[in-house]
Amino acid sequence: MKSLDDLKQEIGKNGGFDVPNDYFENFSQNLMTKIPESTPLSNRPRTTLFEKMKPSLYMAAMFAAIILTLKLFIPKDSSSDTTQTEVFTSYDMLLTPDVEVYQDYYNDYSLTNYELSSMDQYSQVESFVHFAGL
Amino acid sequence: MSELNEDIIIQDLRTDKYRRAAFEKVVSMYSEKLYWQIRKMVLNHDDANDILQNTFLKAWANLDNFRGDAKLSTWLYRIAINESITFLNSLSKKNGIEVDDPEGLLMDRLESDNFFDGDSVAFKLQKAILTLPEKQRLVFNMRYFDELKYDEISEILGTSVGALKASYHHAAKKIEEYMLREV
Repeated sequence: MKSLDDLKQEIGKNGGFDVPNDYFENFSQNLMTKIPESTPLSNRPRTTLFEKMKPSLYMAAMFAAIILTLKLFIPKDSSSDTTQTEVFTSYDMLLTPDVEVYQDYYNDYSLTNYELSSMDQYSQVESFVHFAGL
Repeated sequence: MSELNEDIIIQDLRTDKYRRAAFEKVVSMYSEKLYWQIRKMVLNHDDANDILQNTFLKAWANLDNFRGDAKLSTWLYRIAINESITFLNSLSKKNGIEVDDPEGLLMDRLESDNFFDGDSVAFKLQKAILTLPEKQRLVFNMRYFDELKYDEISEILGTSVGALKASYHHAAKKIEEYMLREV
């Protein structure tokens, strides 16, 4: 049997296939008649930077409008806010006793460190309630 | 084509004024090479002609996607191969058979094509090539008939050079065995 190289010599690079006469000579001409006259690149609409940024700008403008509307139509009542915060703070302190906070209060009532340390946590809370007049 | 020539053509393809003329040059330069690659895959002249035309029409429509990372010939080969594979897949779907079936549809197409000279040795070799899986057939045709370098095939098919060498080696062995049995 012949080697593959010998076979290629005998058959040729086209592998035994053939084409009609002048096929390659006419192919290019025929194809160019099928290609649209207008080129794909020049047909492409040219987009400006503003066009590209439009969606982001619309989004930013929308958020700005929402924030401005909220500021205009919702009045700010600062005094009632403060009172509410203070009440909640005192109430939270009673629910969650924090020794350091109470120590500050007791210091205001001139208790010594020894007196403070001798008090257990429970009595500190009771004393605080008493002194605070609650 | 030399690198300098390719650079000039690519530059012209990106210029409105010269694009069409540059594309005509590309068609003249690559139509024959691409045709033989397609023809050896689909076997029939009329189908190969249609696929070659589609290849260039797609290339024209997608010129702005060609960024110059790969060679122009590599880009065109990729389009041609994709078009050929798509055609073979659609053909097998229509007929409800496997593309790689050597005794099936492709063999019939080979026998019925008016532009196949039917020479007994050539016919046996093509029959042997048809026993290969699709990808191996591609690699074998590119290396054996078109004598493309492994580096080029690797760029076109996106497969490593090592894998391509192994694939070609297996393909050549299978074909030699087939020819031994048949001759």
